[in-house]
Amino acid sequence: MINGLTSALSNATLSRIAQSTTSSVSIETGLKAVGRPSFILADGKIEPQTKRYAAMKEFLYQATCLATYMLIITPIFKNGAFKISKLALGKTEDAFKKFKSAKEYLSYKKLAVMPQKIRLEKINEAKKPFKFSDDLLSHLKTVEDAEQYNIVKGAIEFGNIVGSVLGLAIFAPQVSHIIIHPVLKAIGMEKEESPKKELIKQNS
Amino acid sequence: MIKKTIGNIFKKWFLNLGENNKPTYAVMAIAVVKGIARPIFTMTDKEADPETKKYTAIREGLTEVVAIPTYFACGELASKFAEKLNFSHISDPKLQAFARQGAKQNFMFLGVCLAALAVIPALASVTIKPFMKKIQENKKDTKKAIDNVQNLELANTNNIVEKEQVNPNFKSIGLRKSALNTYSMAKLGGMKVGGL
Repeated sequence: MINGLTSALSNATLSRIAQSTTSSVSIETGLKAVGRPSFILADGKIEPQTKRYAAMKEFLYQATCLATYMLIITPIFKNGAFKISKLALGKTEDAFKKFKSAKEYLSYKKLAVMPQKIRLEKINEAKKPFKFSDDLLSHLKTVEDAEQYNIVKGAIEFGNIVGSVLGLAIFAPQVSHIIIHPVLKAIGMEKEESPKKELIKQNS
Repeated sequence: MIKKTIGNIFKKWFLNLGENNKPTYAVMAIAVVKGIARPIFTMTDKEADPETKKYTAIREGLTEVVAIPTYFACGELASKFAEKLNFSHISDPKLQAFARQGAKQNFMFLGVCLAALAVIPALASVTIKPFMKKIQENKKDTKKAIDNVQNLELANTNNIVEKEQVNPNFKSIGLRKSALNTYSMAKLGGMKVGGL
């Protein structure tokens, strides 16, 4: 029982997620999208109507942030950082020459961090061909401590952090601000603006 | 020269990040930028009331001020728990080290998630609410003082106006009275001075 719990807590997939900026930020935002509205709904001091409105607004905010982040920010910054770093540091750093894209490196890294015993099992179990070159595959099969090419990983993660910051702190809130009110109006949780208010707005 | 120095700085960052990208780095960086950007966005909103804008901006800034150290503390504290786990069931020392390292990262990640979900909202409501109440009370006191001064000034002005208005009325009544008196007296005296 305890051994099972220890194994679950040291799970390799979870630690790969923890080491990846995009995965950890996405999971954290997903948890916020579910957790925060639940906390609002569980609050006994607020009026039921207000509670529902606030919870729905919070859910929509976090959900649109997550969608914007995953669909727009992550692909641009992950690949962008790899390409820029390859251009800038590729002449001096051989690590960048071995991979054509961020996807290729990440697929290699997934296996490279594993101890050889587990790595060989995973390579043998694989049904699809690997994205990286055959040279790198034979390196993974034969060497006990595989080369990590940490500079490539660092470049990708740096891009991810910059993307996460710009995406979640600046870009996504603006997108969600545009989306939230029309959605709330569409589902009947927010009333249409009165013509009087609109007139005031136009005149000001 | 400058290009080479900048390149070396980035290389160092990349190597450190590649070796160990802690889950706390990204969330702390996001919190720092949110702490600056969100109050600016709020203050630039033209439709909101100025007082509400100020209140919201301070609140947003303070929430991120609370969030930054909380993310760090929760992540680091949680990773300490991983050291207490027993991996003696794994006989291979390399696999044991791999599992221990994985557990440390996982605990740090779980600590960050817990911070985002529960610890930060709880801490924010404990620390920020009283702070914001104090600010509002101070504002109310200042507003009361300003209102009192304004009321006093208004009362003084009214007095002056009343005095100015009352006196002519009084005089005119006096004049009329005296005129009436003169009229009656004139009639009584049989004199026709002043057209009467």
